[in-house]
Amino acid sequence: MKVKALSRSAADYARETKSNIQRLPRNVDPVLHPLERAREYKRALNAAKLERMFAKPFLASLGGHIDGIYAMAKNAWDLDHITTGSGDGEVRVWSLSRQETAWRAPGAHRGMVKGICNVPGGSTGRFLSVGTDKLAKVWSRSEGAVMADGTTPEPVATYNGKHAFGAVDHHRSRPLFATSSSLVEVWDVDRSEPIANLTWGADTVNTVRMNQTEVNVLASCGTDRSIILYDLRTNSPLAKLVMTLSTNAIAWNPMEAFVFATANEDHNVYTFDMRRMDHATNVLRDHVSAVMDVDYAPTGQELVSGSYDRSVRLWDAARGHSRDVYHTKRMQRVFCVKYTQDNAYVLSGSDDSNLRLWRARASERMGPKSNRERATIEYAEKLKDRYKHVDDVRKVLRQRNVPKAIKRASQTKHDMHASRRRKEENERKTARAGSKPRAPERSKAILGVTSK
Amino acid sequence: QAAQTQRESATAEYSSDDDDDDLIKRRNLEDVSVRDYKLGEIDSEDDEEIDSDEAFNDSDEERFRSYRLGSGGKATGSARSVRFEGDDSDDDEEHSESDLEEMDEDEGGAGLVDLSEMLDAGSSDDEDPADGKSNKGKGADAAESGLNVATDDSNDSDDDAFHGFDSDTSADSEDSAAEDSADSAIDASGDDAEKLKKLDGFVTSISARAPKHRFVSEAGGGTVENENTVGSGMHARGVTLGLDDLLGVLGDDSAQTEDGGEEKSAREMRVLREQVRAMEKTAKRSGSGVVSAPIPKRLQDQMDRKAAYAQTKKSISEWQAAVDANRAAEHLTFPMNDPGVRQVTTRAMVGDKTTKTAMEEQIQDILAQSGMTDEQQRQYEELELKQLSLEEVRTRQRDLRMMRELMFRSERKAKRTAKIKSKAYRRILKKDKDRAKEQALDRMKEDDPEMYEMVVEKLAKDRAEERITLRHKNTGKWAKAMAKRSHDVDTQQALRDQLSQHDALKRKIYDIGSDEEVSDYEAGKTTRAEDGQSDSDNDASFASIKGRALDKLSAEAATADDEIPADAPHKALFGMKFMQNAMQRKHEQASRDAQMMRDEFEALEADVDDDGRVVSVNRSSAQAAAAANNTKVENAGAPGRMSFGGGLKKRVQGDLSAVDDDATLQNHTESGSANDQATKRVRLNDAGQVAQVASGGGHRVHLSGPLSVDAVAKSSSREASGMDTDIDTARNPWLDESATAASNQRSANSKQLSKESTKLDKLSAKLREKRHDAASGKAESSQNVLLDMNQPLLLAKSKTRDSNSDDEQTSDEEAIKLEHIDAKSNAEKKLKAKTFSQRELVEQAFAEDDVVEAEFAAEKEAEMELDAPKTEDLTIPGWGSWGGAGLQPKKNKVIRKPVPGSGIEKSSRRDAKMGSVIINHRQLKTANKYYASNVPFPFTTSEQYEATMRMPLGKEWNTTKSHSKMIKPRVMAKAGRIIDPLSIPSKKRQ
Repeated sequence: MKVKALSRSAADYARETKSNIQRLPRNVDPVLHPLERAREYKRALNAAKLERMFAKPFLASLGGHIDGIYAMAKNAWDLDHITTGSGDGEVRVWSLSRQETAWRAPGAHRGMVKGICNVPGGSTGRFLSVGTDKLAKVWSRSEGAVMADGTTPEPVATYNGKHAFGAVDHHRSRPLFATSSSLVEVWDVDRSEPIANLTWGADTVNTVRMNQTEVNVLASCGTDRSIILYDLRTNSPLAKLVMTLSTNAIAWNPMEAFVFATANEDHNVYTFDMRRMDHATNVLRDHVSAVMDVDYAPTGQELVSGSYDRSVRLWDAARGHSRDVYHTKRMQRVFCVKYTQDNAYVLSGSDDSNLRLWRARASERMGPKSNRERATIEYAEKLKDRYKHVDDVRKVLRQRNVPKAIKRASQTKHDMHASRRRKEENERKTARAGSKPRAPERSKAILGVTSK
Repeated sequence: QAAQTQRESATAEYSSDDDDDDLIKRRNLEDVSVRDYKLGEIDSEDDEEIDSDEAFNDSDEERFRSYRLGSGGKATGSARSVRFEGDDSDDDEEHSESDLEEMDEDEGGAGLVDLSEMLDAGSSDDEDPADGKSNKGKGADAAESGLNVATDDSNDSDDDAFHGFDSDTSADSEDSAAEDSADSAIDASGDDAEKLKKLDGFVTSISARAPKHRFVSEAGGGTVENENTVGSGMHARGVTLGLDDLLGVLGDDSAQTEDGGEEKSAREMRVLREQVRAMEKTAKRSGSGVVSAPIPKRLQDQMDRKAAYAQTKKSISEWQAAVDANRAAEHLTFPMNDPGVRQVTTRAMVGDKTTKTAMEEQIQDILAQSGMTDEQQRQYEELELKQLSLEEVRTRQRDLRMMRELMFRSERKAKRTAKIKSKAYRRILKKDKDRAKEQALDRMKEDDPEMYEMVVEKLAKDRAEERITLRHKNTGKWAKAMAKRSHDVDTQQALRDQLSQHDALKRKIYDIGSDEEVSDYEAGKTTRAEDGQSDSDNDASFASIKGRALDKLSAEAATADDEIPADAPHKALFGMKFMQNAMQRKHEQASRDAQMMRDEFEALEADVDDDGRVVSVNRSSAQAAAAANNTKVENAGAPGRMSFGGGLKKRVQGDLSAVDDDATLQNHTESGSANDQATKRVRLNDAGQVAQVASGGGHRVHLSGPLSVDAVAKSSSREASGMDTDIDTARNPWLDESATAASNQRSANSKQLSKESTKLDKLSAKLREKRHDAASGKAESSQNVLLDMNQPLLLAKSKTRDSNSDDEQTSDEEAIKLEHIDAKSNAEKKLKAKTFSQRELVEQAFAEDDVVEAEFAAEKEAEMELDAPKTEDLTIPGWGSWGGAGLQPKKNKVIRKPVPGSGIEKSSRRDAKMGSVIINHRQLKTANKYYASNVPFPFTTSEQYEATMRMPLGKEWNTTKSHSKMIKPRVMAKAGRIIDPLSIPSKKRQ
């Protein structure tokens, strides 16, 4: 009997190129794949560990300003450029891709630059800045001399206000912008005087923000602890919300027209439904000092906040605690934060005159990925999400090293809260039944809401 | 005091407000109808909720009256018209009064209070109790309106004073005077002196009245008299200084100046007057009346904000649906309104006729040059059409239309007929077809006899060849093997032919298969045979066919002989020893079969001869007898046919009874040597049948599968034992069916016979039934199926016996019956034995069942013991006590008690009361780490949480598709793309 020897040609098993990946035959017989829970758990744990290992959120620190950055604007039509204004009146435009200053106007304002916003249409490269010098100026990146040494670019237009401005924001589509000073003024770009004065009792209005979805609605917050909503169609305020401490910043959710988030002095970020403001829809509590700025991710699913405690925190808008905290040794009080329009980066401007660029997801890496790589990452994400409640995985995922000050402050805060709660409970025990109802956390900080 | 009484009367009125007359009397009101209306309008219960609009509407008419110059007389109640809600002391009275006063106001035409009412209604309820603010508001309004000069600026300080005003009855009398004066002043006639006097009187009356009031003394006492104080004074007396008064004065002035000759100013005054009148008219028409004072800005703003907020809430809620959809979405891909990649459809590609590449252009050029573009083609066709005359075109079109119509009709008809399911229709159709074929043949016979013969011969030849070469089957092993191995074209072609032939045959058989068909067909055949076709013809053709078949057989045998040695050296596989052996065996088998077939053919020859005789006998003697018999005989003449399709039925039908029927029939008809003849015929018939069946079976050994004919053939050839065949048939469920079908058939036959009602038939039917009854009566206890199942076997037996020894050809029914019974009883016995053994087996299997129970109990006890909390004896003998003689045993032993909760008490086990269950209470601690320590937030029960964890995500446990679906992230954003805010089509950017 003739016996044939087995022979294989190399073409059958060797691949021509590295990318030529062979299809592996798979057998889904459960007998061959036992202990799925244990294996997936282990994978989840590994994924969690890897995530922490690769978590390197800090990308760049863009220096150039001489004073702290107190105003910042992202361009909704241009991913590359970000505009900042500093305490010494300088305005700079940064190119994020090149990580350098693309344009600057030293002495754009006398005094602080309090607010910056972009004019719709990315190609024009125009933006508005307001300062404490009672001036609102329109600048053009293309028209001004770019980085011309010694020469200061001239503004395209200037508007004279009656009071020192606090903030500026542009209408999404129409040539209108709103400024805040002691009142909210609405300006037509073509007129030197404001076309509408919206006022309702506040002494100084810190911030004004226009809704980018329901475009005629805007909100402001003042030093009298109030948040006021306005409508441009009726040219009148709508409702006022008074909180226990004043609000520093407001951000409208770009995907949910009636939702906005506020950065409060009481260390919390609150989100509200503008139709029912008697309670917050969510309270985000992790900061240990006043929250100075807040911004929504363009997906509307996440938030970024910068705080006086020298940290930037990232939040899932639907959860109560931050999913990540960013800090560096040299970063001082954070006065402005922005989430970039591609949902990938976060920017923070702080007292230390630096603009910092962070990853929105600390362990994510940019660049093209192969399908397998992406599938693996997605699988790991899902596993982490699934096993995040299991003790070991949770421990790894939640572990963050924060500066000692923050750590201590949060500990103190925690103790304070606990003791306050304990005290309340004790009082409740001794008081008449029902006389001391538990106040829901979401409405604790709200003094009242009114249209009167 | 008077004020007090007035107020009391007012309350009294309202307490009995249904008494209208009384009310009217006391109130001294002129316009009863208006009052009635008012009363109906405002109930005492509703008085707090009067809303501003209503108040305005009701009072409009009255107020205009006050406008009218001549209607000053209506101002009787105006003294009472001013009323302020300031008295918090008695609420009920206050409210009732307010109502009253409202009516008064209406009549008096004091719009001021209306406004205050309106303000009250406008502001929220808690502001209703009038305070300084609301009063101030009224004052301001009044000042602003400037029409009604009923001022009350100074009223702020003291509310009580107003009650004084309110109820001053003495004012009434003076009212009339003032009224008069006002009237006369307005109806300026030109009598200046009189007017001046009246005005003087008016002013003095004001100054005279003023100090009387506490209010004036308090509030206005220290002030210089100005227009405000004048107004208040007048107001206090119930005189409303209106626009008319002012105009009236002006008019007087003009009159005076007219005297002086200044016509211009007079003209102006006239114009002014006209304007005022026009204003009045328009005001009356529009119903707005007195221009209402604007609400204070603060309140106005408040209302604006409320309204605006409501509006904005409404408009922003239009996003709710989109937001909800996004929130509920399983996956979100950003940017959301991304147009994405456009799918290019074939149609779009075809529709796009613009050339893009150089090659396309080239092709287009070539087409254009050769005049083949679509456009050119169309033009050409048009030209062609133009060349034809009109008439031609028309006829062409008509023809075309006609053709199309006809085609359409025929198509429809074909569709319709194809749908008809009726068997009868099909049969008729088929008959028609056959008839047409026959007619064609007949025609051919007349026209071209040679051709006809050729055709007929060809048909017969084809048929015979087909039958003999068995080229219609390929289920045999050899055929299969050939099909597998054959690669050359010839073999394939041969196989194909074979298949097609088989198909054709099959079709033929199944068409004929149904009983009616058969009978028709056969009847037709017989008639045709009777018509003119001589039997000798048939015989001759048959003989020739048989000869050919024999030739073929021998040829086959020769080739088979040649085959093996020819193939052997070529193929390696065939070169092997076992293969050769197998081939040898096969070859031998084939040769044996061939020999057998040859023998059968020889036998067939004899039978056919016999049969031929029988046929003739049958035809001559039993022409009137059932066609079935004829059929049988006919079938005997055409070997093989009966065994296909309905063959089984026929075989069963043609079992004992049928055969015996024949015999008895023959007995009847040929009364002579009946017995011998009958037996002979029976034998002949039987033999014929057996031969047929055997021959059929002989073919089938190779070709067909499960027909029981094989068994019969076997039994006939090998004389197998009754038991064996019994088992065989019993195992075959198909047989059961056929048997029952046969019995049905039989009954049907008998019925048919009764219809035909010939004596002979009836008799035979009776006989048959009798026999059948006898047979089935014995087998009552067992099933019918059993009985029928045995019958073919018995037949076979008797046949074998018949064929073997002529001595035993008794064809006695009793004997057959006996056989029946024997076989049956045997079968039953066997069955019984089987069941018994089965039972025994079960008993054996569960012989010592109780042992298991005991074992289980012990096991459970051990398990419980293992899990139970344990005490531990920690005493070490001798430890801690003295040794030596006289040693006392230590009293307190050290026994460690079990820690509470360390084990499970036997009684608290979940399986404590379950007899046959052991529940494992031990925890697998290593698995703990895979589970969350407590139920995480969104979940409320651990089951919910566990449910989300149950299905693994990995691709080891899922299909690729479901795996990729499972791991798809919720939010996906394309890298480097700007994500714009949400936009929905319904919300256009304002």
